[in-house]
Amino acid sequence: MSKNVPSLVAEEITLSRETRRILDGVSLAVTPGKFMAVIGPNGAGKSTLLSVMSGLFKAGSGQVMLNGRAISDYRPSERARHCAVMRQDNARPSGMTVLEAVELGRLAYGAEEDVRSVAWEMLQQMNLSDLAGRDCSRLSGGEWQRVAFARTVAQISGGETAGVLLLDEPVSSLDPSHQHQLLGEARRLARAGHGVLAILHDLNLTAHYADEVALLAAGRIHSSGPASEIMQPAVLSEIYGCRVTEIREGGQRALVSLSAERTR
Amino acid sequence: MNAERENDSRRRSRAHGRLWLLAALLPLVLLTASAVGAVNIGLVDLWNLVAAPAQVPEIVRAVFWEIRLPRVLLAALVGAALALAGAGVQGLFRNPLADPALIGVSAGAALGAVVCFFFGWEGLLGGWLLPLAAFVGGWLAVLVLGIFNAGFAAGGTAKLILAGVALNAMLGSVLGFFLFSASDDALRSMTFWTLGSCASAQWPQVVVLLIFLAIGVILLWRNARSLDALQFGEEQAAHLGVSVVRVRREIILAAALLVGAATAFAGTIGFIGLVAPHMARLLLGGLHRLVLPGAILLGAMLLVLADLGARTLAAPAELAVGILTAVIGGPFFLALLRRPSSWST
Repeated sequence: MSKNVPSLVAEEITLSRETRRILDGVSLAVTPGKFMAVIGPNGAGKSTLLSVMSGLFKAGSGQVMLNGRAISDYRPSERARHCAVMRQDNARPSGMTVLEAVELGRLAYGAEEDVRSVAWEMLQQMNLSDLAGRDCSRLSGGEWQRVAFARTVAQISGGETAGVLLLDEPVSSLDPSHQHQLLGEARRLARAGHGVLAILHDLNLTAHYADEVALLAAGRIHSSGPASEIMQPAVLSEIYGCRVTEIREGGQRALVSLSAERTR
Repeated sequence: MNAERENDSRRRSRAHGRLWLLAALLPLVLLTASAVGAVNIGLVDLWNLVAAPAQVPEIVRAVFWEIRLPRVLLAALVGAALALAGAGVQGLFRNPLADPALIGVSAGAALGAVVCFFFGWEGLLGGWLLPLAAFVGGWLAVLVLGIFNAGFAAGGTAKLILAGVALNAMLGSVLGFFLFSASDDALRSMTFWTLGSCASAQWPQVVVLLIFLAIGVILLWRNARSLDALQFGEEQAAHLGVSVVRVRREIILAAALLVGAATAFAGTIGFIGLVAPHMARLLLGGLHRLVLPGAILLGAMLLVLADLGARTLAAPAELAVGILTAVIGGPFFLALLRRPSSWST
């Protein structure tokens, strides 16, 4: 696969539910080798965009292309081998161990391969080996989020072609250390040639890990580009409607919103 | 890391060991149930029935081959079919209270049978009209549900469950109307039928049910991994590569075939479809490649034992087996629920 050829492309996506327009002409490309973050206020349409881009929802107009082919032309199992999705609403099954849950990441592959070895490898990589035999229903929210991530990564690893990872708020339940671990792993996967798109809320994590950022507001792409350009206090203050300021200390930069002061 | 791997394989072989134990118990239960009854058959006679039939009194031979064995096997198959359908439907709906009755098949079958009794048609077609009417009734109910649910393609199982509840209620009131207007004789037959019985067992029915069970096993087994993935939620399962609508249709089809056929021959029998899959989960964990066979074995044993009770407890009178399924299965189930779960570490 040649580098920097967009592998998952949304073109002019529009989607309405009843009379409400949720997505309005959204174009976005997930490029191999890049970590892209989508940020924006609650209700901006981020998760809906992810559902459309993963082929789960049909767009009202516009199209989504996965590796040059309309995503609606893929059979679910074929699609799953190229594009892995971690949703927010991931039910935690009981009677299933962590290892078994991660093994299900390989559901779309043939039965011949050694699913268990792949799953062990993933657990080791994510420092989850200790939890291998734990019942999923007995995990904490954060532990479950890491397991779900491991399962999602298992879905696209080991293939001959690079895959696409779509992550919907993958670190929302994690402590700071695990946030870094998970996003670091996501960035490493991008460096290894996969395309990564993550919906994030934490501005500093976004600024630190994302190569590119798309700002979604009221169903439209407000702006998109390299993280260093987009993650500016003025832009963010306008989008979120509250003042975001920049603090610099010892060569590091932090974006903070200290008060609910309205900016619009 | 190696310790975890060892723990994992130990846990897995423990679950498999339990499944094999259940598989070994089934022949024992079948044998016991075949031996006990109005005419008790001793161990020696039981052996000789196969090894040296000439040494066994003719009456014993007749009882065993023509009455006892088909009845025990029918009970086993009915129990297995109900439990398998229950395991599939619970997995599909991710709802521990889901029961195959939810898709309307039992109520539809009951209505078909009750109409038969109402008009006194139960003896027609050499007695085959009754099971046929029940089977068709069950299918019509599922068909109606499917039409209202856009061919089971409409999103969300919650709506499907609610539609099933509404359909069940409507069928229930039509059923009530027939019960209300029936003659005393017909009413008695209807009541007995709706409590379930394996008393009318004959070889042809055993063969027919075996075929339906085989179809159900194939349909559910090929979706076992998809059922596992569905436990993450339907959307997440779709992302993992599950064709959610196809899986949903196949499982409802399987449940309708299994419950339709079982109900046609044995009447409506509750509890087994609900509880046997849960027992399997408590003993074997939640993966459907273990739950499905486990449910089949447990369902078969439960109904064979319940039927054994039905024909011996009040002998020479017969109890309805539906009365006994809960009496026998309930305490066992409660005991399992009390146990700390075995698959957690």
